[in-house]
Amino acid sequence: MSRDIRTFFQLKKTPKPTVEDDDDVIPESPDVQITKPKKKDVKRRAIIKDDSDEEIFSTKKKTNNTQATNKIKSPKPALKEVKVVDMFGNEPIKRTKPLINKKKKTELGIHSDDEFEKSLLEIDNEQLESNEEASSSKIKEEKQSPTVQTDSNKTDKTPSKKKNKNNNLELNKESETSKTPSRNDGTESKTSKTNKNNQTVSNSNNSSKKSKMEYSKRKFAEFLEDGDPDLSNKKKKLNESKTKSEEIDEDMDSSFIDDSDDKNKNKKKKFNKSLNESVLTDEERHERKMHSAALYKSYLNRSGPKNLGAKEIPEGKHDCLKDCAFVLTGVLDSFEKDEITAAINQYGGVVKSGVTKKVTHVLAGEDGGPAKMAKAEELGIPIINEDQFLKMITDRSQGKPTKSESKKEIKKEKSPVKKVSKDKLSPKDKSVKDTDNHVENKTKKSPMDKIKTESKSTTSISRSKLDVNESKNHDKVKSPKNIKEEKVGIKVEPSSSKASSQVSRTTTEFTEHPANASMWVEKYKPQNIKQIIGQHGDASNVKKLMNWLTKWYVNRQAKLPKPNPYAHNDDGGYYKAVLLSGPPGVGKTTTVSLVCKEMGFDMVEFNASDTRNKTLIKEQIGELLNMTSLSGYAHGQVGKQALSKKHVLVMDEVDGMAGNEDRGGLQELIGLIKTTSVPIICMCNDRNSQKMRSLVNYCYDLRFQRPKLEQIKAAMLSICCKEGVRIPADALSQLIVSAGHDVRQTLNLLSLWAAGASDPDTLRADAKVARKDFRLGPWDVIEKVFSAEEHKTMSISDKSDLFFFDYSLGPLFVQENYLTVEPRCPKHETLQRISRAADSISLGDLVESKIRRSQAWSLLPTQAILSSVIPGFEMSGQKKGRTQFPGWLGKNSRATKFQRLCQEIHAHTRLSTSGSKSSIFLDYSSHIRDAIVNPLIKDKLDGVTKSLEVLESYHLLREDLDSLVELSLWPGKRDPTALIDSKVKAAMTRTYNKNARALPYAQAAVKRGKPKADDELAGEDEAEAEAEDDEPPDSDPENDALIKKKKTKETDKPKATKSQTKAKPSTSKKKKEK
Amino acid sequence: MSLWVDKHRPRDLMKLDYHKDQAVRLKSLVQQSDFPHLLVYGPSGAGKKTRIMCLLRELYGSGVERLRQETMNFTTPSNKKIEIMTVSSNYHIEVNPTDVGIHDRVVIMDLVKHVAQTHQIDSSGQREFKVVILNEVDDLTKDAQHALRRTMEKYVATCRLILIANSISRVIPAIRSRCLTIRVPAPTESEIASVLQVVCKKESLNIPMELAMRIAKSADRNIRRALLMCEACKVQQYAFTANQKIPEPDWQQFIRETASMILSEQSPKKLLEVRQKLYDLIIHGVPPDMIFAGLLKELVRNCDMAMKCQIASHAADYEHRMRLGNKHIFHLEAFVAKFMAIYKKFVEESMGDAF
Repeated sequence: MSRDIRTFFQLKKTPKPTVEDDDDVIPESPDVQITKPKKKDVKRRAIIKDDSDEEIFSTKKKTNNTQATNKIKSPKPALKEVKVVDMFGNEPIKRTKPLINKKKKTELGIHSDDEFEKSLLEIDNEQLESNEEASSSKIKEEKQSPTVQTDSNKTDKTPSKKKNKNNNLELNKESETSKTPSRNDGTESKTSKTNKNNQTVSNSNNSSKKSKMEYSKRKFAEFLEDGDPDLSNKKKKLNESKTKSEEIDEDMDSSFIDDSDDKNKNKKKKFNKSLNESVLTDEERHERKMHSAALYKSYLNRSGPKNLGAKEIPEGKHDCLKDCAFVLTGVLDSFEKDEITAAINQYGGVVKSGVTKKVTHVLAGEDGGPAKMAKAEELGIPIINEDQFLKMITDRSQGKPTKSESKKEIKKEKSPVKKVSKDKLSPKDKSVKDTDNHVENKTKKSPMDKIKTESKSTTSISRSKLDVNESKNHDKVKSPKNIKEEKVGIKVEPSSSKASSQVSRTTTEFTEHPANASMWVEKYKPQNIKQIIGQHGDASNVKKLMNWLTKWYVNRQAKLPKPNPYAHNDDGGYYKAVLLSGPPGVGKTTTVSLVCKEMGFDMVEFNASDTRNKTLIKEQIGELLNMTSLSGYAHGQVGKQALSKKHVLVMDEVDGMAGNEDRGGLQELIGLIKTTSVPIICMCNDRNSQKMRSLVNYCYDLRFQRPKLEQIKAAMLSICCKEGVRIPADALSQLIVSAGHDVRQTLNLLSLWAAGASDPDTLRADAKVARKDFRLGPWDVIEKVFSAEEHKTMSISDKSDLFFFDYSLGPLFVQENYLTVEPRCPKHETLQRISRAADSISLGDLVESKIRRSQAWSLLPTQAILSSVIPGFEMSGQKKGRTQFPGWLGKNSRATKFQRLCQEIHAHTRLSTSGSKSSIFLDYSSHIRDAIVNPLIKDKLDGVTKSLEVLESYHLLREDLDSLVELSLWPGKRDPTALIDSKVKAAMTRTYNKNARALPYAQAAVKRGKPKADDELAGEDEAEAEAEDDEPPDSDPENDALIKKKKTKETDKPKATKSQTKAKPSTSKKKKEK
Repeated sequence: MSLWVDKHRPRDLMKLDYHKDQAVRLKSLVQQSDFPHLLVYGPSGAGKKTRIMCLLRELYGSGVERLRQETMNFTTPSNKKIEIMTVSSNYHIEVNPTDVGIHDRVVIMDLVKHVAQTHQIDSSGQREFKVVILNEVDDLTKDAQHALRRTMEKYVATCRLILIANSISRVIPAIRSRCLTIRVPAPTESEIASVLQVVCKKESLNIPMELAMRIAKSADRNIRRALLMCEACKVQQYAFTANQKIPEPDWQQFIRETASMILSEQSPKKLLEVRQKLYDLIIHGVPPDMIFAGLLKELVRNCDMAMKCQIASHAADYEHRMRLGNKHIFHLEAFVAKFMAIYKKFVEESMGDAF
């Protein structure tokens, strides 16, 4: 025997790794493990079925357990006896009564075994003992009978096996072989924690086994209908043998039994009911349809809950309704639909709109939709009422933690089971609907299974029975027992047959522990390039960086031209350094370290924690890069190989190179880049910042974008899976968005959340809070300030927060746009509101000037209220038209320009006029302008001297005339200079330039406010180009106004040339015109 | 060839056309060879500056008319370089500290100290003190005004300050008490008319008294404006007639247009248009308080007494705020909005009464 096992083991070895590969991708996550291999196994199973089943079965088992082989041998003799019991279980599988009866007879004949008698006796004793808990155990029986039935069903399928059953000898033999594997299974599950491979194999077994079980359950249902008393009795007995084991661990199971009590009752009831009702005749259905119209009417008119608020939804565990799908129909007695929906969602359940196979419960109230009810009945979905639902919550949320754990585990396995069962079952089969119920039952049983394994030695009957089943269904490899054991085993390290539940408890604790062991950010740091989120494509930064690094040394030889900065497909060959830029948390540093690792570069990293000033970079880093690394020796390499390591200098967070500490660092870095003999990688957050200006010119530009939501989400979900954390997808996306697509922060938030309440609602709330930190632009802010919709959900502090997004620009935006809002109020009130808003804005301005003048920043909240909240409140309504950029800024700068022009004129005319600046604006400007312009208009060329006289008497420059015109020109008025003949204008300028005059002021000081370049007067002036030498003299400030000087030497070369260039095109233009 | 207003500016105290008794008193003040700091105030176009220049001429002789312009450089505590243009003669220096905006304090401190600390070496020159003329003192920041008051006492031996302001209400009391305040009221309309006639005679023109009076009236008792308008009239149409059209300053027209816009329709849309008009006014350097005054004058024409009071008080309120605040347009607009609200309500009520 043992030899056989070994040979099989060796044979099996090869397929193992393939399974392992699958698992490696996502280690430690039970969910995935179960789902992934499942499909594979289904396929494989299909093939296996045709082959000789026994061999494959045994090989599998054996391969799983090398260590266990020893153990298997010792219990052999005891196991042999058990086979008889198996016969028990196997018999009832018959579909037709006569068959079953036959079987029974044969069975009776067979079971003359001493051992069997003994076990029967034992069972009886147990029954006596367990009289006290009779009720509970009975329920157990009912529950468990399906499984027993399963086994027997299986045997039915293969006629040859039936014969085996009858044959003792054969049975013995078989049971021996089968026992060992089954044993192995037990031990295997023990080691399952350490040996993932084994686990997956057994998992796959589980799924297929389950499908089998489902099938058998159906059979059992039929069987129940048939209601063969004898058979059921026998079965009961068998089950009792199991319940006996229950007693052994009474303390463990008591709570569990309680749990299952109700449900089983309910389910049983419904189950039967559905069986009966689902056989609806066509007539009945037709009738229902006839009524549906009337029912719809009544639906429209139906009243609300009668006793709304009479009951309360009990507090339950947050996931107590996990994997439950509800359909609500009718009017409940004391709850609104919304409340119930919220409750279900809160406890992890789902609410579906229509009755489908996936629905586990139909929660019906008064006047429930008949169509829904009918369908539910058809599909065998339990229909529960409000009270039952509430009870369900309370019941499910009770129970010991270990139990719920194991329950949970089993539930997870449920979905695959369902699928398989669906595949297997023919649609016409009514009992499909019972699937869920049975699964429920099964989940309840899991602790039982555990106990079974534990009590194997004592109650060998049950075990051996199972073993027989196993042996009969080699192709399916999975005996029910195995399934059960596995179920337990996945989560709990299966104890040896004597191990108590305590052990399992400790192991669960152990499995939970690593989740908190280290930071997720560190734990799930990408280990290779492929794991970096959002860096997969060929155009990704990782690829570019690798490409750049590989070609670096080659490119140094080749003399490459500096690429066009706008070139798209530049590989950066020209540059000796690369600048990675992007927001935090997108994986810049990770990328660099992984790429360096991958390509065998030695990283010399300096980040913001290092002082990076001029001297350090020059001396230390410069030297470092010229050295050869000895790290090769440390890794056991010898000779030249060890020395030929390639360096790469990584300057992380270069935008942090600022302040006194790092003075001159950037300049030195640039110098280093110019002369470097190794690649340099720089990293920064904002490449557009002022500090980076000089650096970017020397660096190959790689910009990291924020990964897409889906990319992050996928990675996060797999991490959650590994950590065993369930997170609703919408909450996760909310979280990612609120973290600003920052992978690192998302992970941190997740791990924080997982460590804490683990309630999706808190997560959503957190996400909401995090989102608040988002910066809004003034355009978005202004929409919110005036939107009545937004105001509904905003507190006053929310509103004033809007102001703080940009407190210097925000008030201007408000002022610019408040008039375009249509407030929600009666028409005649609009102006009142506008006036109040304007009043508040004006007060806000007072506060602002106070703040700015006396640095009273503590008044900012006051300004927020006055400048933003109150106008927003008064004008709360709908914005009409587009949001305008504050016109104040433009107008203000124009006003300052006019002020400057005016001040200039004022300064020039100061000697001859009295009066302040504003008098220039208000009175002089237009009059002086007219005094100059009018002679030119009236007398044409003869007026030139006259107008020049005016200019001179006011010490005005030629440019000042233009300023004057600009100042005195009001919108809607005609420009008087337009009337001047261009010839006259040119003549005037020429004469002006010829007669250089002394000015009482230093002209240089005034030059700041030069007239606009596009000045038309100057542009059309032909003479200016010729008379470039005749610049207005740069008179000595000490000069008296009376002293006249001939034109002084041209001091202003640049200006002269400038005017020349400016004038030339115009002259050419003129010529053309002529 | 200057404009009449500058060409015929009186240069001697005794040749002033109005407030002659004040001129006499000033003369006697100066004849004592010393005088205290002066604070000359009065509305724009009343002849303050002319009076002061006459006074200085009386004091120093014609030397003060030999003016020159200099640019002086200062450095603010925040290391900002500012430059300011001064007009000076050998005996006095004139500066407009508000040219540098909020940095006027530095100018006051440095410039006044600089001038004051220099003793007149040549005391044979008539006086042993220099005169510093500060323009637009009422527009000085509070800081600058406080900086001024200590300097005024400290350097009283070497310099005299002549402060020029439109209104002393914005000059801090500490300065007011240190100065001899001289009020130069705006000339009456008849005084202006007579000045106009004198000037016209000098130009050998003949102006009818009625026209002179009309000009004086529309010039708002501002002699400068009156003279400029008179000259503009002459350009427009010589051979003055009594009822010829008097060209009005553009900005006055503009304010009137704005006011009629407000009165024509009261709606948010109109308010937006008005805002643009107000911006134009501000850009063109019309002092916002004049905008307030102009608007108010036009707006209250159609109002009954109670409303007039109400609106005037609101205007005062907003003007006050405007002075305290930064952004004039906000307050102007708030006033217009207020007026619109009140006026609309009033109109609606009276309409309601009518029906």
